[in-house]
Amino acid sequence: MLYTGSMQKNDFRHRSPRSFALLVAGGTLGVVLVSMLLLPHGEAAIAERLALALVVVVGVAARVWGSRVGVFTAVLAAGTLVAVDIGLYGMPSAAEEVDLIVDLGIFLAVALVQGIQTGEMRDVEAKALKHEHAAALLTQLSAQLVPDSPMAGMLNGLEANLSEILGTSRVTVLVADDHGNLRPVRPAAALELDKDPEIMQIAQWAFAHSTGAVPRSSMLPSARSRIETNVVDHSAALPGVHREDVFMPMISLSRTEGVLRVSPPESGSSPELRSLANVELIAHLFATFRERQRLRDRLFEAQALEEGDRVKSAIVSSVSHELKTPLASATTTLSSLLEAGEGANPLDSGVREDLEAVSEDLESLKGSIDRLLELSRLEALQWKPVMEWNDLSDLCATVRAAFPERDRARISMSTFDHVPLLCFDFGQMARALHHLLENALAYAGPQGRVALGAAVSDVSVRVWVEDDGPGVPADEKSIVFEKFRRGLGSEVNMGGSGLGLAIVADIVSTHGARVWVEDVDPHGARFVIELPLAEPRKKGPA
Amino acid sequence: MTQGARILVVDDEPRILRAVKTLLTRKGYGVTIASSGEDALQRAAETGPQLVILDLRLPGIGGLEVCRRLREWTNAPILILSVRNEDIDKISALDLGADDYLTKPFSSGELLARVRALLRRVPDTEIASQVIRSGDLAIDLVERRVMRSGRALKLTRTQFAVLSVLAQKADRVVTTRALQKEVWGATADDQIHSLRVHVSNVRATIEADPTAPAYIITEPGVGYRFVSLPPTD
Repeated sequence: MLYTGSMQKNDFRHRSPRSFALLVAGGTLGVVLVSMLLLPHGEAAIAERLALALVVVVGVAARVWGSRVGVFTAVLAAGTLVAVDIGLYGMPSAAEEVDLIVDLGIFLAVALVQGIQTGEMRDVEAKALKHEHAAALLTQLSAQLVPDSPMAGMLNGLEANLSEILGTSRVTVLVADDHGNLRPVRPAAALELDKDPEIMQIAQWAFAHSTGAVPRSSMLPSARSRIETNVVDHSAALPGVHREDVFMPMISLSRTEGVLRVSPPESGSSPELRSLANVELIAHLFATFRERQRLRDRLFEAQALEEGDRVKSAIVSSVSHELKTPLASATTTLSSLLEAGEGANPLDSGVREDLEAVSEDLESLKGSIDRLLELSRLEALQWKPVMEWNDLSDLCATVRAAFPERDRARISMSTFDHVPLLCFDFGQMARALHHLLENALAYAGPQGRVALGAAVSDVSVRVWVEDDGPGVPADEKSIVFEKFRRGLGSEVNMGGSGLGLAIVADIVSTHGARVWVEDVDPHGARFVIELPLAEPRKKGPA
Repeated sequence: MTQGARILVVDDEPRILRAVKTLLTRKGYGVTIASSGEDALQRAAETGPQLVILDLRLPGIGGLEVCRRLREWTNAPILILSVRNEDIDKISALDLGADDYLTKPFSSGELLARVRALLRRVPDTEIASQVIRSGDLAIDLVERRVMRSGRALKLTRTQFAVLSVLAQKADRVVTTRALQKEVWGATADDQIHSLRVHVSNVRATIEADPTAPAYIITEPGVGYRFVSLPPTD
C-alpha cells in the first residue's frame, strides 16, 4: 500500500491561475459572510467589532490557502471596512477623514502581518510535510527495489510514487551493459529515443563523464550545493542545446550503472524537478538496486560454475578410480605371471610373447587413460598448479630419466647452469615436458635425435624440445595444440591419443606462459615454452 | 631378513589384493590382507607386520588416518598406493610418516623393488654412528665429511645437512616440507627457493653428471629420494 498519511495530496500540486481565482473567491466569501453576520446587529462600535472579526478571517484564509490569499483577503477586508464605515456614518468630514485613514492604516498593517505570517507558517509546514512525504515514499521505494524482480516491471509499478516525489511521472531509466552501451529498461521508451536522438547523445555523455546534465534554470547555486553529483547545463554536453529534462548519472559504489532522465510534466515546469536533490536520490537508489542485481547475477553464475566444477571433479575422480583399478590388477597379475614364468617352470615361448604383447597394450592403455585424466582434471580446474621455486635442470633431468633407456639415449640435454630458479608447478611442468619429448621422439622416428635445451633473456626463460623429424607444416602450426589433432603423422600410426599437445597448452596457459612451434633448419620442429621470470634479471657487468 | 618378512596389504579392491598377495606370497613373504581401515588396524595389531602396503582410498577410517594411527606405535615402513589425482593425500601420508609411494597401476617389478628397498632399511637408531655408503660415495655422519672414491668433497654446512637427511632415509621419499623441517627446524614458503638451490649445489658436487643425477632423484611434486647403490669401494 502507498503511504498517504493524513496529508492532502492537493497541497503539493503546483497551483494553476484558475485554482488561485477559486481561492480568492473563498477569501472574499469569508469577508462577505462575516460582514453579513455582524452588520444587522449594528450598534455602537460595530466597525471595531467587525474589524476584529475580519482580522480572524484573514488569519484563517492565510492558514488554509497560503500567504497570497491572506494578503488579498486583508486588502479586501480593509475595503469592506471603509465601505461599512461610509454606509453607517456617511461620508467622513475632513477631520474624521484623518482618523479614518489612521484607523484603516493600523487595521491594514495588522491584517497584512497576520495574513503574511500565518500564510508563511502554513507554507513552511506544507514544505516540511512534503519532504516527510517524499522521504516516506523514498523509503518505500527502496524497499520495493528487490533484486529478484526485473527493473522494467518494477518501474511501471513505481510510477505513482515517482510522480509524487519528482512532480512528474515522465521518467526514463537507461542502464549500461558490460560494454558501456546504454539501453532503456522499458522497451516502450525506445520510441521516444528514436524520435529524439539528442536524448541518447546527452545520456551517453552524462554516463561517460558521470556528470548530470540539467536545464539552465536548475543551475542555481542553492540547488547544486545540495547534491553530490557534478552537474552542468545541457549545452556543455551537447553544444547549443537547451532542454527542460534532467539527466542524472546513476552512480553506485562500484561504477556508473546508467542514467536517469526525468522530464517535466506536460503542463509546464515542476519546482520539485528544479530542486535536483530528489532526482539525485532516486538515481542513487536505482544505481544501488542495479548494482545489487548485477552482484546477484554474478553470484548465481559463480555458484553454477562451482557446481559444474564439482560435478566434473566427481566424475573425473570416479572414472579415474573405475578405470585404474582393473588396469592395476591386470598389470600386476600379468607381470606376476611373466615373472613366475622365468623361474623353474618356464612359459611356452608363444604364450610368453602373447602375454608380453598384452602387457605392452596395457602400458599404452595406461598412457591414454593418464592423458585423458590429465586433460579432464585440467579442464575441471581440479588440478591446480602449486607454484614453487624450481630448478629447470632438475625438471629436465627428472623428465628425461622417466623415459626407457633406449629413448633416453636419443635425448641430448644442454647444461642449464645459466638458468635462474623459476616459479612453476613441478608436477605439471614435468607432464608438459614429458608430452613434448614423447611427441618429438615419435615424430623424429626410431633413428631421429631429440634435443632439450633452454635460453635465458632479461624477462623470460625459453625451454625447447627439438627434433629432426619432418617438422610441422605452416598451416598446422596454430592447430597442433588443439585436442585430437595430429600433425603429419596422421597417415602413419604414431600411437598417442592426440591429447599430449592439448595438455601442454593447458598447463602452459595456467602458468601464464606461452608455447609455440617453429621450424628447425634443414628439417624438424622446435617446441618452445616461454616462462616469464618472476623478476626481470638485472643486467650485471659483462 | 627380507625373506619371509610379514607384510600387511590394505586395499578395498579384492582384485588388487589378490594380485598383490599372489605376487608377494610367491616371493616368499608372509602376507596378511585387510580391506578396510578398521580391519587394517586390527590386523596390524595382531600380526605386527614388518611392512605395510596401504591404499589411501579406504571405506570407513581412511588411509591417512590408518597411517597416522600406525605411526603411533610402529616404525614398520609404510608403502602408499595411490592414483595420480590423489597427490595431496599422498604428500600428507608421507608427511604423516609413510616412507614411499607407488602410483597405480604399477608393475610387479616396481612393487617388488620398493618392497625390497623398504625392508632393507636399517632402523634409525643403528644408523647414527655409521658411515653411509652408496656407489662411490661415503657420508660420514659423525665426522660430517663426504668422500667420493676416497676424495673429500667440499660441502657447506647446509648442503651437508640436506645430503645427510636424504641419505639417512635412503630409498625412501622425503617430502620437500619434511626436508625443510629437518634442515632448518621449521618450514616457510620462501625457503623452498633456497632449498632448490642447495639441492642443485649438492648434486653439482656429488653427482658425476648433474644433468642425469644418480643419487638424488626428484619425485615430481613430492620431494626427493636418495638412492642407495651397491658400494663400489
